[in-house]
Formats: sequence, C-alpha cells, structure tokens
Amino acid sequence: MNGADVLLYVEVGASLTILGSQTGMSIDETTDEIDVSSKDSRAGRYIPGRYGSTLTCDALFEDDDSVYGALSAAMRNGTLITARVYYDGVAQEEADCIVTKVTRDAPDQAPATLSVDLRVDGEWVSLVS
Amino acid sequence: MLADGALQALLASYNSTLAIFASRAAAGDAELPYLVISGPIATRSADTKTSRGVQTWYDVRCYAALSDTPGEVDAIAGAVRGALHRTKLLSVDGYRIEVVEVTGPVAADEERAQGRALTVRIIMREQEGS
Repeated sequence: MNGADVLLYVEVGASLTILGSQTGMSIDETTDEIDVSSKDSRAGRYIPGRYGSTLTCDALFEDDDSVYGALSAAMRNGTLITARVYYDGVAQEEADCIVTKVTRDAPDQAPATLSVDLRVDGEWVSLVS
Repeated sequence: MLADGALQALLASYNSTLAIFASRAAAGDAELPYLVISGPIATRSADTKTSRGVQTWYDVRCYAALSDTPGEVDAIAGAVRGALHRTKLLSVDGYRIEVVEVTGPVAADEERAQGRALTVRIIMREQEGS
C-alpha cells in the first residue's frame, strides 16, 4: 500500500473532514506487558496488560484549515474529537481521541508545517465488515 | 519586475518596454543593459498526500556593457534581488506562492558583456478548485 493512500479525517462540526496537505501519519498500538514470572520457571512469563493507541499526523500548516481549527479547539478545550482513518478512499476505523499535542513549525523560507498527536480513548472501531 | 522602479532606472528599453527577455537569450538587436530570465532550470514536486505543489528554479541573468563600471551590473543584480527575494507580490494563476528565495548574484561575464546571474527558487501550491 502506498502511504499516500492512508489519510486522516477529523470531526469538524457534524461531519468528518480531511486534514489538508497531509505529509505523513503513523498509528501506534501498544500493549503493556505484565510480568508474572515466578521461581517455578526460568522462562519469563507475561500476560497482556493495558492496551493503548496513538496517532501522529503531519501536514503543511494552513491557518484557514477547518480541521486544524477543530483540533486546536479540542486541544485547548480539553474535549474529545473523532478521528477516522481511510485506506485508498475507504473508511477503515475510527476512534474518539484526546489531542495531546499540536505543533506548528515555521522555518524561515520553507513551508510551515503542522504536527498533531492524538491518543485514542478506548479503542479503534472497525468500519469495514 | 516591469513595474519595479529601480530596474526601470537601470535597464535599457526594447520595443517600448523594459529590456527583460523571458527566453534563452536576448533579442539580437537589444541594447545593454538588459535581463534574461530563463527556466525553469529545474522542477521538483512539492506534493503532499492531499495537495499538489511544485518547486521550481529560474535563472535571471543581468548584462551590462563592458564599458560600464562593475558597479552598474552589480546594481542591476541587486535590484533584481530586491524585487524578488521574499516577495509576496508574485502571482501565478491557480497557485498560491509559498516561498520566493533568490540566491546569488554570481559572476556570469560573457565575451561582449558583463554578467551577473541569480537563481530564483519558488515553491507554490495548487489552490483548491483550480
């Protein structure tokens, strides 16, 4: 799959809107490991612990982008926001997220960029059967 | 650049307009001093996943007569830089200009003229709906 076909949409008002000029995205899913090893065995034993997921999306910064506005508002107001991931134009999964970081980078004589970090509240909900 | 006062004071005229040639070379009967804008000499994609952009480079060459002082051709190069570097006045239909940066001038003397060359880098992004 071409990474260009993986896109982030974010809740803006009553609809989900694509974040403009996206340049990259990464989705992490992690499970904490709980060590239940004992003297009974030399081998370590583990059980799955807390599940978590984060999403980072990079884009060019456009101050009039409605998605940037929604993300910034959710960040400052401390509200959840729905994020949806598309593969090649097809909605794949969505989740309610906390906006944990919004970075606007403005280097001299180069396009300004935006980086947004989201943490999933709960888990991803699949939208494909 | 045609409307730039500094360049109007420094360049000759050709066909009743400022002697600026957007071609590989100036017209054969053009009088010095003049400018030749050539390019794009290089083009690179500045696309994102969801928008289309382009980064291009143009050369602007400034020429003055051998009988002129070097200061005159340097003044023309300085005026070109002043008109273009970091300008927000450039416009291209269907695009939004993000960056305009001029490097140079560097010496570009020729057999029959003093020359200075500058390179203009432009990053522009297609506007939605264009």
